[in-house]
Amino acid sequence: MKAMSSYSKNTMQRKLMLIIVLTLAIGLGCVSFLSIKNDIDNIKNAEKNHMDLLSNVIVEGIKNAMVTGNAPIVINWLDSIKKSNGLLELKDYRRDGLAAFKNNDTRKEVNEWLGGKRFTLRISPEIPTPFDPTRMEAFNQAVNTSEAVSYDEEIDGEPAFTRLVPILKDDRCILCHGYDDHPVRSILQISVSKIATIEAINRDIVRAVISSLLVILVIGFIMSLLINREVIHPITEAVSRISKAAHSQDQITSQQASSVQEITATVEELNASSKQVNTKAESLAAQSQKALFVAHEGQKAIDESISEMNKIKKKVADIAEDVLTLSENTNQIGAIINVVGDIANKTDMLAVNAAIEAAKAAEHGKGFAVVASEVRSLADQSKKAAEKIETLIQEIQNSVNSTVMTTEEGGKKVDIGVTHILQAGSTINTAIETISSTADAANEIAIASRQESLANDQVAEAMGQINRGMQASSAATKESLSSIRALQKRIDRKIQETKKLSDQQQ
Amino acid sequence: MHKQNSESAEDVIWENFRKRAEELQARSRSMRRVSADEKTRIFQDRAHALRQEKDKPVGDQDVLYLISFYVGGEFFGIEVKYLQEVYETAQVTEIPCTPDVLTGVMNYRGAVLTMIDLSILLDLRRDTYRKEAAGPSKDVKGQNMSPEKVLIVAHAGIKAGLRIEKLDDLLTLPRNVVQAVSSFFRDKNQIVKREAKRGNRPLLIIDPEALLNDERLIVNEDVS
Repeated sequence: MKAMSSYSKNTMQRKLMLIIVLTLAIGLGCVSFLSIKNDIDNIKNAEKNHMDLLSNVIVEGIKNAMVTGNAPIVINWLDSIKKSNGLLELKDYRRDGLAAFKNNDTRKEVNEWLGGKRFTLRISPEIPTPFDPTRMEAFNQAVNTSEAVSYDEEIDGEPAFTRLVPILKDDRCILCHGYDDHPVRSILQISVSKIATIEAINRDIVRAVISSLLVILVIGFIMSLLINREVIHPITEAVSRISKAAHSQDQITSQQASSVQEITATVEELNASSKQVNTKAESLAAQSQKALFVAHEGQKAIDESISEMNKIKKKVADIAEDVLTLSENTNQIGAIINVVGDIANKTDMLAVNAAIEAAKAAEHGKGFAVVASEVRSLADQSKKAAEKIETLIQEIQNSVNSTVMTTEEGGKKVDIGVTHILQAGSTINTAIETISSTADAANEIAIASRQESLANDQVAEAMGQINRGMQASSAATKESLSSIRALQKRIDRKIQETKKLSDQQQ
Repeated sequence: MHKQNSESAEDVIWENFRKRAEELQARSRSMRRVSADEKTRIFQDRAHALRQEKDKPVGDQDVLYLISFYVGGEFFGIEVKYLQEVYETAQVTEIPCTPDVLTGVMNYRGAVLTMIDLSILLDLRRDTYRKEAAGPSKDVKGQNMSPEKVLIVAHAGIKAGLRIEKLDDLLTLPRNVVQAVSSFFRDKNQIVKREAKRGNRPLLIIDPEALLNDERLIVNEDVS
């Protein structure tokens, strides 16, 4: 991390330094250029003025000398001036471009104008050298406009400033040169060496450049220190933090990516489960419908059961009534049996009395006694049978009583059964309500789960997009991390260089 | 299947009920008729009884005809020749100012008949007798308990009714089995003079002459 932070720091420093140095260089360069240009102009103006002065002096000298009519003085004077330092050329040319004062052409014309041989001709006339043919245009311009023309040229490999000054005809000249109407008598060429000027300019430039460089160096060093302290350090820290942040962001991104993958998996599971829920809910709804049908059937069955139970109750009541009728009949039998018993008793009595009579009759009543005994036995049997019947009737009465009680119990049981069935009916009603609400709920669940499934699909898609975005972001983070590392390396190098530089300077 | 099984089981039960009802009906119908075997048995019994009577080689002189009965838990007998009739009456009218022995009078075929309570006459403890009498009387429960059986005894123009609890039988006893009661009993009571063994029980034979002539039966009171 440290390396990475110092790395970015050095890059920053380097860039800032570059900008500052460039700005300084451009600014100082402009300033220097302007001052140098100004100097050069000044120098040139001074030169020009110098030249004007010189040319005017020479022209006036020539004119004054010529007024005396002594041309050789002029020639000598010019030759003597010509030897002065810095003056490369000083020549007077006639309008036709030939050097003056060399042959006798002008003397002959003047002599002819004045009539007679006023001025002596040269004994050995020289052949006049012509004006530089390459500069004839400037020469003609000076001749035609009667004004000085300046230009730069090179004479004998030496830069020179040349001025062509026309020597104008004035009143004094007419005496000798009245034949000539042209205002320009001749063109004076003055060429001054430019080496001095150029050297001065060069010195100026060198000085400016050196001073500029010095200033740049000093300011750059100070700025470097300042930047290092005030800007680079915080920036380095910032870069370090950014690097940390990037690193942690990378981690977070990868964590998020795994989280997103987990979420995607979970969402897929959710999707599957919601589809299952959907199927289950649909089947539940169908089964609820079936259950509803069954419950309605149960309701019908309960209604039928209730009517059947009521029938059973009626039947039980009928049985009780029948049994009571049977009891009454049995009571009638009892009454009859009482009569029978009574009869048996009476018969017994009669038999006893008959036996008594038979006994009284002694031998004659013997057969009758047997019959009486037989009758008595029959009466006894009848009595016993009647007693038995009595007992049986008692038992029957008991049975009838218990049967009546049983039927009553049966009726009560039927009532209880009806109550239970009614409870079952209400339970089934509740079940029907519950089942229908269950069916509704199942339908709602089915719809909701379908929607949930769709939503899950969308979520899965979104998660996929997020995942892709995360991967891209992770790649970008890694890339930025690597670029930060590279920057860090460069900054480190720069810092070392700066240290070396400062060490050397110290 | 289960339901069908249960239904079929119930069907079987009801089928059995129906069969039983039909059988009972058939039996009750057949009960009215006396089967041939029954008839044979009855006739045989009767013939046997007749033969037994004929087989008895006893003369009139050697035989006592007795009616046996219960009073106060005791077993008594009385000779048939003193008896006029066994009668049954539902209403006994008590007569005031008479001894307890004479319990009242009754309507006997249009005539007023005096009734004698043997238990008092013979000094039997009534309570004990009543209690004991409740036992055997159970056999005849349901029959007319209210009408009492009365033995109409007649001798020498005196007629009286003896209230008895239960009639036993008409007995034919040889004279030789009859013997005099113990002297203790004779001293105390003149009414019972003889006794005979009947099974394991002593049969006390009442002398109607002594009974009817007992001084306790004579009413001699003035009522103011």
